[in-house]
Amino acid sequence: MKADITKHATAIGWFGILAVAVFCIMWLACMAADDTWVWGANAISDFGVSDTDAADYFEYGCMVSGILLAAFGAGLALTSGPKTGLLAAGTFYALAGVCIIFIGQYDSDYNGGNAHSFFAWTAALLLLGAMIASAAQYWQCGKLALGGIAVTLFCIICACVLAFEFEKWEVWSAVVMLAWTAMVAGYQMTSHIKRGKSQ
Amino acid sequence: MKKPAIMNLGLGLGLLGGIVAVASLGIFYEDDDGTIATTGAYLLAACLYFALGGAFAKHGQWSSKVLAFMAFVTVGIIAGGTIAEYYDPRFGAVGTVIAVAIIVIGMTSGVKKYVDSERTIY
Repeated sequence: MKADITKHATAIGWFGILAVAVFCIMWLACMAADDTWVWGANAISDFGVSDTDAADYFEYGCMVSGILLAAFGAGLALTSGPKTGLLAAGTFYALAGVCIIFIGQYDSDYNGGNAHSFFAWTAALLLLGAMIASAAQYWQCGKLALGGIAVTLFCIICACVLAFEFEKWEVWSAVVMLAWTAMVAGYQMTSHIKRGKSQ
Repeated sequence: MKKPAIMNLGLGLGLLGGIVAVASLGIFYEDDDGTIATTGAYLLAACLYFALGGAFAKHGQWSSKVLAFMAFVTVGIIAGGTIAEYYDPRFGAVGTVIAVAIIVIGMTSGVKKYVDSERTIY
């Protein structure tokens, strides 16, 4: 019997939702463990070099959410069919997930912080690429509301990058990316449920 | 094809948004180091709103997809500018509501059909 991954498209969406949820829970747990962390004054990576339990939460949280994001990205790419934008988005999400694993492993003190910076910037650019690719695909498919939300979120990121210091625009960008990834995952689930019902 | 009445509302909201943006520039003006950037941001918002208003005119300049795109860009700039502290939060709230209303109007089927139809200038 030939395995058909499209039958599991809804489950693939769950990987994305869980990746976002795990990252959020990790972030909240780190904030609870390290009360010296200040929104807008500290980067998320500062949890990795914290003297509290936040360092462990950050390491393992990044690992788990990275694995989930990589699985989501791979599944999105495999179920994209003829939609090149979703193929690209899935590939970018998968690679970003791998980078996030290494962000947790190599904190910003490891070997001068070069490895951490590399994986952090790569993950950020890959997530941005995934956002643009998925939004372009949704726009092309006539899902103007979904594509438009991505346009709005992109403008928010640009405004924050222009106005704020790195630590502040980083956290805002992370929030935006989490929200967008959850939307893509949610749409992946609901669109395949609708398609399944009509077949 | 007859122009849907709701397009007049879209036109009115675009004009209102532009007027509110220019008025907010004056009301919330503060003389400090970032004045030029803040002034530019308010004027950008005004331009976008007036352009959106023009798109709902009888012989507007955009297709429905471009209209939707520009409306979402406007929401993004207003929301992003407010988060980035270029805009006063009160203008941000009013501006976002106006822009979202324009998006809703622009995405109704009647408006889309009219905007994408062959509109002859006599």
